[in-house]
Amino acid sequence: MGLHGWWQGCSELGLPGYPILDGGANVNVMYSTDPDKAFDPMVTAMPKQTLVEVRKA
Amino acid sequence: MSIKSDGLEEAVESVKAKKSEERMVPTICSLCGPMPGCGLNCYVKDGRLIRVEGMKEAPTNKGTLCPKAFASVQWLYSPQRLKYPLKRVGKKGEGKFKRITWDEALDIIASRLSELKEKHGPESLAILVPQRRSYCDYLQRFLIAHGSPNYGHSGLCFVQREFGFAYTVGVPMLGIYGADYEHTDLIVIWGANPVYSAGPLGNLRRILNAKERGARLIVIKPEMQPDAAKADIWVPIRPGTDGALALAMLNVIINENLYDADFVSRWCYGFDKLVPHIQKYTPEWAEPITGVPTDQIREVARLYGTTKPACMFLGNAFDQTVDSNNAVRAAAILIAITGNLDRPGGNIVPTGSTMPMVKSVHLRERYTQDFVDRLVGPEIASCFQPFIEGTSSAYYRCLDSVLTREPYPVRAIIAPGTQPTVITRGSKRVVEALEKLEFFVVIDVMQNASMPWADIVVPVATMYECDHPFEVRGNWIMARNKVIEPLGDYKSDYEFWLDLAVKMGYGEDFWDGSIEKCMNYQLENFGMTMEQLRAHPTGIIYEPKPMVYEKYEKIFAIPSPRLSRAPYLPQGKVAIYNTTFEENGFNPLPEWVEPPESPTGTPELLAKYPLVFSDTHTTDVYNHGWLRNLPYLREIQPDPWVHIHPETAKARGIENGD
Repeated sequence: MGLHGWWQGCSELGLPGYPILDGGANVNVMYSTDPDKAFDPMVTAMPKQTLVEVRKA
Repeated sequence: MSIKSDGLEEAVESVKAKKSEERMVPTICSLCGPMPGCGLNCYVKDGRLIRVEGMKEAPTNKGTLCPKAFASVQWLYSPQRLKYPLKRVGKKGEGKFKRITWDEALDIIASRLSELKEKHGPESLAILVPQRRSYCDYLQRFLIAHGSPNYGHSGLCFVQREFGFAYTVGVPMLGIYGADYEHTDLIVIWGANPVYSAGPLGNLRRILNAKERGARLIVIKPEMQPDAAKADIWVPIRPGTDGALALAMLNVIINENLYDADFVSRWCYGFDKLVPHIQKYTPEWAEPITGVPTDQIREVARLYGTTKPACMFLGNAFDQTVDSNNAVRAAAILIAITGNLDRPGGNIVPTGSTMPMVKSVHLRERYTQDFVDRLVGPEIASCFQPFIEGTSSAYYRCLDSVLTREPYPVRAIIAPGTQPTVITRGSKRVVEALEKLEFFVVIDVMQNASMPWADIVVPVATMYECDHPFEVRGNWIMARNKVIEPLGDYKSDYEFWLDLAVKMGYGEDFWDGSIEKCMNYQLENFGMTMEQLRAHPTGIIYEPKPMVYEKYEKIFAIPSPRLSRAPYLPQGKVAIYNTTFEENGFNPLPEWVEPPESPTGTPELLAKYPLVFSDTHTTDVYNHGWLRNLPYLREIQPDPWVHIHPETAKARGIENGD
């Protein structure tokens, strides 16, 4: 489980921002948007579950 | 005996003196989304907001506030605040802008929108809408005046639950805000987080009070969060499989005769078709899909089926899966057939208050079939449009049309208070779309993650810097008060939309640009003006009407917002077997649909990707893609995190804090 929406830095604390795409912390890059599989046909709900592997950087 | 003060008395006097220099201005928080509307007491000294406190008189928060509101002083004075309108001078994505005047900004936006409308039709414009704000109705109005149906609603949140409930039990909000905690013996919190989200609605306090009274608590969610820690039973379900669990619970409740036969016989349509349909959805079938052991599925189903009364609170988990409509319908049917619909302690339909209706600014009389047919990517299937938000295209599909050009490309997007690059799925395609988009306007209080692609950036005032609108929450209405003078060259969101409408020639539909007139128009039924409302510093609370239960004849006859105004429930009963869906080509009974990637749906991916990932959108300190720039909050959660089961982490050599 993660938290979506990371991109901002915090200059006062010297904490970094993150790229929106590669190398960042934006979890939305990981979900399928396959038009044939990723939408509820009645209400267009999109999934928030995906298969991943996790490795220590 | 004497006590040495060590300067205490002087310090107390000093604090008193400082406080006497402060001015308190009551207002309403709109920092975090659709429903809260917490009352704020704002303390101002020398023209500067120095602190906020919860307003005791506000029925929403009753004097409490969340960490986000307490941090809003830093938000207001953040160095990342926009200061004036900007025009892009670099390449898209580069983030180079120059200052322009408001007249220039409005001229550029109006002329580009008019040009694209002339060349490609009004539907070439989409507005991507933020988490629900009171100004969202004005976005709808602007689109209707312009001629575009493309109100780009999230496709991820809230409306999906409303839709399933409306077309199954006739009441959109039943499973969201209908739980009658005060009279229940069992609470099921399912895919929701009442600790961090929707807090001002008082859910957490009400749940804990019920628990102290002896009510039992079931929490169904993948992660052990604070509400799960308080539960009698925590059901650690695999993300996206709530529909499978609901179907298996129906199987148990029906096959063990735990349903309310009298209610089913009198008020449900199609139960006889559900019984054979549900046989395949056994707990044994559901266990490998949901990860919930068969015994626990039976335990939860039996407890819900035998505890009278019982209520459910369903959260966003139901909106964020391709099985959404099925999952919501299955949960709604559970509420109905167990006899928990609009009965004390179940899921109830409030009877409202003596408060008059705020006049709608939607121009619903202008919806036509042609308007619906021109949706670029209907959020709710076209045959059910308009729904509660009006007509809506799915947020992501508006963006994707720029790339696919199907059924036509959106060419201009306005994004008020929303960041498409980080808040919707498929960020890579979103960025590609923004690169190709012909005209993009970002409206915000703060620099945001989509701004580098904007042609024009519109800076708007915060809730502390403007004196409108009024807000209505339940039976409470209050006018916003200006707390401090604007810190930059701002308009309010309302002023921007009214001014743009006038500039585009839609002034007749927008009160000729007068905020006062439009606020007073919406207040007409109250018999008072905005200024008269403002004479009540903490607003007005109207008397609730006496609660009436089992209003089935009334509830089951509610008309839908579709063009035909056909009732949600054509048989005047709970639509277990949904003929409206069947007539429009959809499954009449709830079914199970696997997520695009899952252990049981795509086992071929497991060797390479053996873990299931999901995400949450709100914590105690953050809200979607916002607020990480505030030191108060960032100190509490400084880094992005991933929660992994300890055994899974250990197997990968990962330790806490890595």
